[in-house]
Amino acid sequence: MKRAELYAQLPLLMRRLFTLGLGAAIAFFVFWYMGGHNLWGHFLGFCLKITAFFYDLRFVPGDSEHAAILHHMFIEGGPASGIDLEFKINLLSAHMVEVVTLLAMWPTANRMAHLRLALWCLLFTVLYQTFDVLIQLHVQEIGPKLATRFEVMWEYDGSLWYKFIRKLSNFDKFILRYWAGFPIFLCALVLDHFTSKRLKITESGKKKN
Amino acid sequence: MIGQNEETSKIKAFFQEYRAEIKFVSIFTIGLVIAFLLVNNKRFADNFIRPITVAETFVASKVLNLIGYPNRQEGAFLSSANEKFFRMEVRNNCNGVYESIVFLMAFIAIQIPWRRKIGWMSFGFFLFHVINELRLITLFIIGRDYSAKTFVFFHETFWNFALVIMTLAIFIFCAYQVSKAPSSSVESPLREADA
Repeated sequence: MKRAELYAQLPLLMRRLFTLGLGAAIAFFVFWYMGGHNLWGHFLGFCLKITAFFYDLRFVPGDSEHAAILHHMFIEGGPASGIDLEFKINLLSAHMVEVVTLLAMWPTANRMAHLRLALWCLLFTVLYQTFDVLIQLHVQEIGPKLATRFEVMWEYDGSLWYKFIRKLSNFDKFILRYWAGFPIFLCALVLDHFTSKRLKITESGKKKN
Repeated sequence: MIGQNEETSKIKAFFQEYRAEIKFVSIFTIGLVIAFLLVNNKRFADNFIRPITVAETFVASKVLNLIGYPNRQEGAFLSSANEKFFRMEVRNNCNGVYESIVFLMAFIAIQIPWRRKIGWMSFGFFLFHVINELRLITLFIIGRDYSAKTFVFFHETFWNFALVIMTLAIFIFCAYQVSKAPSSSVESPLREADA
C-alpha cells in the first residue's frame, strides 16, 4: 500500500478499530479462555524446542492461570531432583490480542494478501515469544530470587551480564509484553511490503519499478 | 529474477517514501528506552514514581469511599474496611506510568509542530490517568466482591487491552485531525516538523 493511500484510510481505520478490530479481539479472548491457550502453548512449546533447542523446555497444559512453559534445571545446593522454572502462558495474550486487532482492522487488497500478512505476523509473534520466554526464564535462572527460594547461597558478583539481562527482562516485563503487538505488526507490514512486490514481479515475469 | 541494483533501489525507494515514519519509529524507540531506564531506576522510582502511585491510590480510595465501598489506604495499599476483607497493592506497573511513557513518546516522536500536538498530548495523558483510576476502582470492587479468577481476568487482560485500544484510537484520531488541518498536507500527517 502506498503512503498516501494509507493516510487516506485513517477514518476507515478508526471505524474498523471499533467494529472488526474489537470483534476480532473479543473472538480471540473467547478462543483463548475456552482452551485456546493450551493449543497455543503446545504450538509454542513445539516452536521453542526448535528455536531454543539448548534449553530443556516443555509445556504443561492447565487452566488459563496455570498453563505454563517449564524449564527443568539443577542448582547447586538445591533439590537433587532439580527444579522447574515456569513462564505462564496467559502472559502472552496481551500482545497477541493487539496483533489480532490490527490484523482484523487493516485493509488489504485481497484475501491472499491478508493471509500473507497474517503469516508474517505469526512468524514475528513466535520469534518475540521465544525471546520473551527465554529472557524471563534466564533472569530467574541467574537471579537472586531462585537462590532465596531454595535457601542456597547466591554469589552476586554484580556482573554486567546480569545487570543487562535484568534491565532487558524488566523492559520486556513492563513494556514489551503489553505493547509488542505493534512492533510485531509493523515488522510484518514492512516484510510484506517487500515480499509482495517481489511476488508481483515474479508472477508477471517483468521487472517493475 | 531480480537484479542486485533493483533490490537496492527498492529499499532506497522505501526509505525515501517512508522517511518521516522511519524517523518517527527511531525517535519513539530511543525515547522509550531512555524513559524506561529513568523510570526503572530505583532512586528515581522511590522519589518520583512512588509518590505518583500513592497519590493514585489516595484518589481511588476517596472515590471508593464516596461510592459506598468503605476502605482504608496505607501508602500504596487499599484494604476494605468492612466484613468482606480484601487488600490490594498498587504496584509500580499498575500506576499507569509505563503506559503513559509509551503514549507520550509516541506524541513526542510524531513529526508535527508542538503547538498542535501539545493539546492532544495533554488531553490523552489526562484521559489515560482517569482510565487508570477507573481501573484501580473496578479492580478493588471485583477483588472484594467476585472470585480471584475474575480479578485476574480484569487485571491481566481486560484493562490492559482497554488501555491499548484507547491509545490506538487516540493516536489514529490525532493523526486524522492533523491530516485534515488546513495548513497540513492531507496525505502526510507525519511529515517533517515546521522549522
